[in-house]
Amino acid sequence: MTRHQRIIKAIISSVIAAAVIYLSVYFRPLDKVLEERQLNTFRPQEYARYYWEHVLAVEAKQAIDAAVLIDSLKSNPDNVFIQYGKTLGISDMSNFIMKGHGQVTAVIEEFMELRLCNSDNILKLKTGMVFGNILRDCTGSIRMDDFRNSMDFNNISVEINKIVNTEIIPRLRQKLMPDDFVYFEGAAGIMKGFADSVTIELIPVRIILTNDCKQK
Amino acid sequence: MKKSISILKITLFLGLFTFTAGCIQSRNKISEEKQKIAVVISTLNNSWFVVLGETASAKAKELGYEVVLFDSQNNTAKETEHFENIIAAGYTAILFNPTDAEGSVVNVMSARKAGIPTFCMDREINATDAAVSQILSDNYSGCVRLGEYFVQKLNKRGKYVELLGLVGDNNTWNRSRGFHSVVDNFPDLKMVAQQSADFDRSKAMEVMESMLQAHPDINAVFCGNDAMAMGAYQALLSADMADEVMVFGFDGAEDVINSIRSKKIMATGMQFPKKMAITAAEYANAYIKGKRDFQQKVPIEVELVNQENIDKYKPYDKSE
Repeated sequence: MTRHQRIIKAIISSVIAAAVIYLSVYFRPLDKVLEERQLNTFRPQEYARYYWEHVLAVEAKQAIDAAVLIDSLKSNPDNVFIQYGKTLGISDMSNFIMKGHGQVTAVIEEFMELRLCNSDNILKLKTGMVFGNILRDCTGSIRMDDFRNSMDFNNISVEINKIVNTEIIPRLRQKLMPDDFVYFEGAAGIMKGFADSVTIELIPVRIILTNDCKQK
Repeated sequence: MKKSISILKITLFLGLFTFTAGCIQSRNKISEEKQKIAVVISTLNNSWFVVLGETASAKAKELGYEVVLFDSQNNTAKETEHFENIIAAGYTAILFNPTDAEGSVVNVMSARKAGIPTFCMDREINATDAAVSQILSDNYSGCVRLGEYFVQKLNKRGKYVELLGLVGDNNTWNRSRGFHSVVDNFPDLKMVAQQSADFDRSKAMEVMESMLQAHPDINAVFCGNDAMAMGAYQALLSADMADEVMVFGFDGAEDVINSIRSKKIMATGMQFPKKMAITAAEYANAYIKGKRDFQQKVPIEVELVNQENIDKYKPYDKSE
């Protein structure tokens, strides 16, 4: 091989090597990669906050009156479950949103007993830790099918419950005393077949102290 | 002459009629032969899954299908082999209990590509575009209820250990997270050890024995299924600690329901394997008959069974 041929061979080899390196390695801005990764990561905390402020709060304001709901559960439970209940999958339990006025009649360890205004009906207002999926499922607007795996779906409940457990319940425990009047919005799970015999345990979404039964 | 033509016409007509009827009959026979449903179960080495598989098979047979039951022996490779055979044999539908949330996706996708609809039972796969529908226990909510009962029974304080199921199965983590979403809020309840025993009774016994050597002062054990609860109870019995340590399971299996009745085990989460299997078989039948709008994930409620309400339940179901 002549000197000339060796130079040509070296040039061709260098070009091939450079092409291989160039094609096998590429650089992208780090912020773009992080942004893409975040888009693929489900963030239950943000999802829960949005749901709490823009879905649950709105639906709770428009919910059925608790006294009307309880009376209807006694007289026509099947119809009430169909009309107002939200059920996840196959279950005997349905979730309901309700609102109303009441007076605190007793403070028990994990509950406050609430007598509804202009009614003989009693509610248990939860003041202990809130667990489970009632707040997530009561509006029927979060669909399990929209989540690739059920852990993401369940993490929404964890985050919604955190909001109630840290922002609503401690204030409730501090402020409410027996004989106080309140306006309330909340959610409860009710089992079919037990609707007229069990006192509803309401998870608070919004509680406002009032001067009497009518004032909001 | 005219008479012989008429006889010829009648003969031809009868021949044609017989031929057509024969064709229809043989086509019906072929389509009847094609109506086969495969029931693929993660393991038949656990009575709970035996109930799931046998109920699905019985319901599919009742609906008029020929049924073959496959055991994946908790092995994804074995499961893949079953799917290859099912696809090659041209089954009409698959009622499927997966071995692995990620690993089983490829099998369901293969079936889908081959035009065979799959209906998952009890265990989830990490895909929403592979199976037609997934009928699942609401493990998370069930374990929230178990967690609340656990806190109540331990009076909010004490040491406990947790036996996890298969780490690749979403049910393992949904159960564990549901339980911890409650229990972790009580700082005086301390988990001193957490280990997988693969949903297996013998492994649970071994794991529990070594846990008891390291932590002889525990008050309770939370197990991700009933087989592990029975294994843990066996280990406690051998260590003469069965009266001091509360055992909590999950499934509603026969031996645990009997053990709750005899006050050996505190509580379990009642899954309804028969309800899941029957729903899956009915969905498959509806799909074969033309229905297409199925909910992708259908959770089935899990109920708390304890020593106070045990009379309302029997193994794998509610009392009549």
